[in-house]
Amino acid sequence: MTRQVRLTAVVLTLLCVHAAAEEVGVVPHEAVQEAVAKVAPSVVQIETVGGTDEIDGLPVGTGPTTGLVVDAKGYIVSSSIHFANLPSGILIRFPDGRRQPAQLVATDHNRKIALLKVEIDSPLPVPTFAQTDSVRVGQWAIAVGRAFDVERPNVAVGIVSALNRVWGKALQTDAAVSPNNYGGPLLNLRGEVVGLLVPMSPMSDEEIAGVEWYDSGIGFAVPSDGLLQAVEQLKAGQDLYAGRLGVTFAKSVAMSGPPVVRSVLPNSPAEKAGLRKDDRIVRVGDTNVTRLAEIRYELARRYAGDTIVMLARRGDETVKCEATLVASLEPYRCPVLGVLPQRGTTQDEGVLVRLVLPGSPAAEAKIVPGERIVALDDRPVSGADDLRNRVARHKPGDKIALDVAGEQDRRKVDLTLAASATTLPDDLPTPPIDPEAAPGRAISLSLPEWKNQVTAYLPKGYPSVAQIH
Amino acid sequence: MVKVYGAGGFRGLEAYQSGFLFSPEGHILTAYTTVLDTTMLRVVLDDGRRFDAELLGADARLDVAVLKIDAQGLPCLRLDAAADAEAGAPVLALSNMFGVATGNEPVSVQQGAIAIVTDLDARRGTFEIPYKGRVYILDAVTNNPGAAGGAVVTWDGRLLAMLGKELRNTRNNTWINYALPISVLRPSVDAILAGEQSVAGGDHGRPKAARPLTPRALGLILVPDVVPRTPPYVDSVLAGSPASRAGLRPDDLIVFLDDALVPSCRTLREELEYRDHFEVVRLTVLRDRELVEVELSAEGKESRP
Repeated sequence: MTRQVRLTAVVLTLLCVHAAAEEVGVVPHEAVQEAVAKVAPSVVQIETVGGTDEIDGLPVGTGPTTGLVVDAKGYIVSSSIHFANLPSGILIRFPDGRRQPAQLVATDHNRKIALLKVEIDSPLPVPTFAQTDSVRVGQWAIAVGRAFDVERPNVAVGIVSALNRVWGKALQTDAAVSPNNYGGPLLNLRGEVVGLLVPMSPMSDEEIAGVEWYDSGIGFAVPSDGLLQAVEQLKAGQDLYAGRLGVTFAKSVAMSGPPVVRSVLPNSPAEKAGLRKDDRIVRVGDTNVTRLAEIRYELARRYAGDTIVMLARRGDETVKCEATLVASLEPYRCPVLGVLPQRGTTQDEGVLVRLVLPGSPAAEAKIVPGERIVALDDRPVSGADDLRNRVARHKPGDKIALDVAGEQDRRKVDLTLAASATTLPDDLPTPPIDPEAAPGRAISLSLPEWKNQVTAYLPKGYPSVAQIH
Repeated sequence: MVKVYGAGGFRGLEAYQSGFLFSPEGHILTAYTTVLDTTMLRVVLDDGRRFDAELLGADARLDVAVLKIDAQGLPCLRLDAAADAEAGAPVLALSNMFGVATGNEPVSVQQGAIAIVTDLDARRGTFEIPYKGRVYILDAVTNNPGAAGGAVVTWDGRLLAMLGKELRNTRNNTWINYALPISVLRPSVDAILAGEQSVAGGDHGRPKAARPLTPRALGLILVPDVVPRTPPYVDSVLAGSPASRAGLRPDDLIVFLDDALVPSCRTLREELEYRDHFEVVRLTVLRDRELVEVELSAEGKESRP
């Protein structure tokens, strides 16, 4: 009796193992064909005419390539790499051989998606999209392209290797992904679209990054939810870009250590949000962060124009910063007020003006040497460094208000900051000192803003170089 | 399956490849490559036996060759038992890729499927081989050094195809994993066995025309060809020319010559070099977001008074 039960158990176990092996190990080819057949009418071929022959030194193929219908009204998505060489003409070839010109509506440079539009007489077949949160690592993944033959799709089978790759922007698959199916769909066994196949790389944002991994067993697809959200935005004709914040971190932070801000770029979203040097970022959006990679993960998925709330530790307090990300950070332009402040520090209020540059905003506001700048935008000025730092945070063209104290009176002046000169004046003023017969000694300085060396002549007895900064 | 050793060994040119026996008397099917460019061909069977091999013949159009070794009673994959397969069919690919198998080691086996059954792109210059017919594109990375001449079989061991030599798709700069169906190779193999074909020359397609067509002969002045891929925009149309009679206009973007995509001015000129001056050609142009198709005959121009 006991022996019989045991034997039955063994047989049952063997049967289970066998059944599991069938399900897991062997590619279900018939199911794959059925899945492909479901989506095939929505997978189109794309041909381009003209355009540059290389991008970043790599030759650009002339196609044909693949696209996927996402909207019955004539919207088709593809991989943006197919249009990075700015072709003069784009042609869609439908599975029935019909050809139609297409317009590039807009490009998502963050997720590498291009949205195309064709004029239609009848609605285009739209595939079914899978819920992205239903995708599991290990499930079958079918990569479909239409690069070889307009009548027949080309198919590669693998599994979903990972979720949330490339800073949360992509699914990873071991199905063969290459120029033969970039722009085509990645399917599940039910024939639902789980993502759009694109070249991508976690190491680089370049337009063509990731192509070097073609057919390697490492392929990426933008998951359906991100894809469809991007499509809705792209329909407005606006290109989408990765959102930039404008903070830098020390090199050591990249590997480990807390994400303490090394610098905040002037006029960047980070600066406008009030983030400062030495702040330690502790929360981005809904996620607590302790490492730089976590911040990057949160930011990389977001677009320029997205608003993000961050918490940062500053000393003993926690500050809340709300930043609206931008596509590109403005290069810094130094604003000019036009005064030389007194050197060193004094006990007196504000900053003594030593010299006013002719034609500068300060001169136009009738500030004269001997007056003191005591407040900027209604906040007291504590010294020359404070004034310099606070003016530097503006850009040329910004309006500021100064409180200026003279011998007797005190007045408020409004002025507009100028840009530093970008052209050389026609006539250089005669130097006040004849360099040959300079009474002092010559020293060399290199200024941080300028590459050139300058020479300054100092009066005899001038103590040190540090003082003239 | 056999391992074939011959000429090569230089940088980027392997001196080995794959092949398989298709008769008990030692006939071997393999790819026609530079490896066979020697009188010192050696074949190693999977039991480790070594033979000198003779090149019976080859068909350069298909890049297929037949070797013969002096032996009897060998196991083989019979060509007349070969099957055809559809896209999606699971397959095994057997080859001595990277030369990893030596001596009595059997060749490597990869699994995959047929990604698509298609014709190699007939457009000039897409593939660096003369063959433009039916192939199996494989969903398996079989494009490896030494894999040419390997066998593609079903999971129950029926012969389907022979792995082709390493091949690049110049249209998208990828290496292509393909195999030539046995049904395509059969006529060549039969001809070689019948002694009708020793080494057939490649058919490099249609020759260039003696007096070819030019854009100007059609009445088309294209925009100056300044970059490698200048889009073939019409700059002007000569009055009274075939192009003008067909209604072509400046700023039309030429996209097709007959059925061939013309991505650049250069391609258009090259394609026209294969057409005689009297031929009627069909041009498709992109104009104001619409495709317009016209037929042009330069002959008409000459009949003009």
